[in-house]
Amino acid sequence: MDISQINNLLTSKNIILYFFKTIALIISIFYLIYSVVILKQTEIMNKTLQAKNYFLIYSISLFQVFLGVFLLLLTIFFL
Amino acid sequence: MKNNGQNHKLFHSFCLYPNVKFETQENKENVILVLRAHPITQIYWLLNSLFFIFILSLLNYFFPSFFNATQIFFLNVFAIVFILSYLWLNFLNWFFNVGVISNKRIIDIDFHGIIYKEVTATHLNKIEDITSKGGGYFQSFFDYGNVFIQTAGTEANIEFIDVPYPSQVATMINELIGKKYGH
Repeated sequence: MDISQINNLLTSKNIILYFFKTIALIISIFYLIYSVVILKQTEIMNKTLQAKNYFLIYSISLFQVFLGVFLLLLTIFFL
Repeated sequence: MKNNGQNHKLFHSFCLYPNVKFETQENKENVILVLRAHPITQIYWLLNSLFFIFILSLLNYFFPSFFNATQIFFLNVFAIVFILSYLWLNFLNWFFNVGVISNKRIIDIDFHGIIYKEVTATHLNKIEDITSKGGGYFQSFFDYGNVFIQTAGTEANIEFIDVPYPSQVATMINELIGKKYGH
């Protein structure tokens, strides 16, 4: 790697790009963890109070987990 | 009010004879009333979400000066996902924070910030005093307030906060105690 390549790597545009991707990755990982916690908590909540429309509530919480995975993959492959 | 039919009022915040079960339910224990916070008290998180959407659309005017198209797309996706999560979290918090009145007990189920669970229960014969409180413009207009149930001895007191028809709730509990224990 010569000086010009290092220089290119450290241009402000590249730094913003790497910074953006790192932040997006961290947020995606945290969101995925959060959505799994919410899913588990939904199960606990339903055990405490068994609601009639539990399937719908559980499905929405599960959808959140899929959204978290989708967001993570999107960040890794498209950003 | 004394019929055995189900009756749900105010977006399921006042459910008479609902078809629900709870974790610590005893044999021959029937749920008579399930209470949640009055829907009007939940309006703040809907308004907050609308405010966040407004802020996001405002920021979209400034994004092109700092970010490229892909980054703007990602920023919008993240913001929308977080707004939806905020709505869902608040909904769950409202839906599962309930007060249950059964033919045997009064149960208060609280989830603090979703993660922490607190279940307080007392038998009807341990109840010493019931107070319903409601005041102020909104509480009077929408008929909601707090119900405090004082119990005997070292048992924890129970509070139903911002529930609809607080005086009706207090009357129902008094009637139940009267029917069961004759005082």
